[in-house]
Amino acid sequence: MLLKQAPQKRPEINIIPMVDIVFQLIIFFLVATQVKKQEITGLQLPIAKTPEEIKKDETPPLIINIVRPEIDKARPYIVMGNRFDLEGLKRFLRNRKKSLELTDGTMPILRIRADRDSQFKEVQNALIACRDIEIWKIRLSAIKKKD
Amino acid sequence: MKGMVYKKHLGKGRHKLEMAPLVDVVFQLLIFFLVASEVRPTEADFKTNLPAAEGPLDRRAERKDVARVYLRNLDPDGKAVEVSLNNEVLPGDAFKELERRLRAARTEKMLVVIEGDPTVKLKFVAKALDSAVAAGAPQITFGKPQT
Repeated sequence: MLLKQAPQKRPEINIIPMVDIVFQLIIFFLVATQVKKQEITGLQLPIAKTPEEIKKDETPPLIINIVRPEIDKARPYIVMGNRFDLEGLKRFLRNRKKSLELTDGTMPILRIRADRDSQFKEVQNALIACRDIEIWKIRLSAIKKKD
Repeated sequence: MKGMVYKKHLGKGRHKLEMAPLVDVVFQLLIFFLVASEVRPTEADFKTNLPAAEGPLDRRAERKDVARVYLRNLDPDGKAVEVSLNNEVLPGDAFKELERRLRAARTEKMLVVIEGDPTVKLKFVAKALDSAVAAGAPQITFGKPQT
């Protein structure tokens, strides 16, 4: 009985499935993550159960960021990349009032993103600065805690 | 042309796609996204009203269905707070107790006013807001800054 001998062939690693998997991983990271382009590095929002998730079409025209005192006690407010103390923030908002006005003459919703370790008085003062330019609708941002 | 020799392509076999550089590039991309990205936390908003520091706040005192929540720092670092509701210090898990009492006292027009020491950290204010929202308080606002 003659046994057929298999032809001698150098074994090769098939890397195509590996490339497939790596591409899948890249697509996953592209979809599920965001590139670090936060306006403020190190700003940690408070964690809460009850805030409402932000709708995609609900981006306010202005966001006031408030950092914790360890980062900048004198100028804790950051708006559009500029740091302000309270007087500076009030001045900035006053100067911007006209451009913020909606077509019907009302003022838009404004969002405050304050660090969880920022002081309550900074938030209260920011709210009063908003009131001074007749912005009455305020959103206070938090990270939604999952149950 | 005399003396000039053209080299003929010797390999007449099938052209192979070089995979190694592709794998290199793909891995570079993968490492870039791993390093430069972060998982996106779910950001959400508390819908707050503005503290009207002058007139309306004084009128609030006349209202009977105002629940005044006060947060007082228990240590200079602000790591712990004491929670009071209408001047009564809440025992045990104060924020749960706050939610329970606000739910019990809830009326259609109840107004919850959150006040506190100027240096109280926002994370505690967010907890008080959480309790008030969970209790179904129809109106929540912040008191004017304490001096």
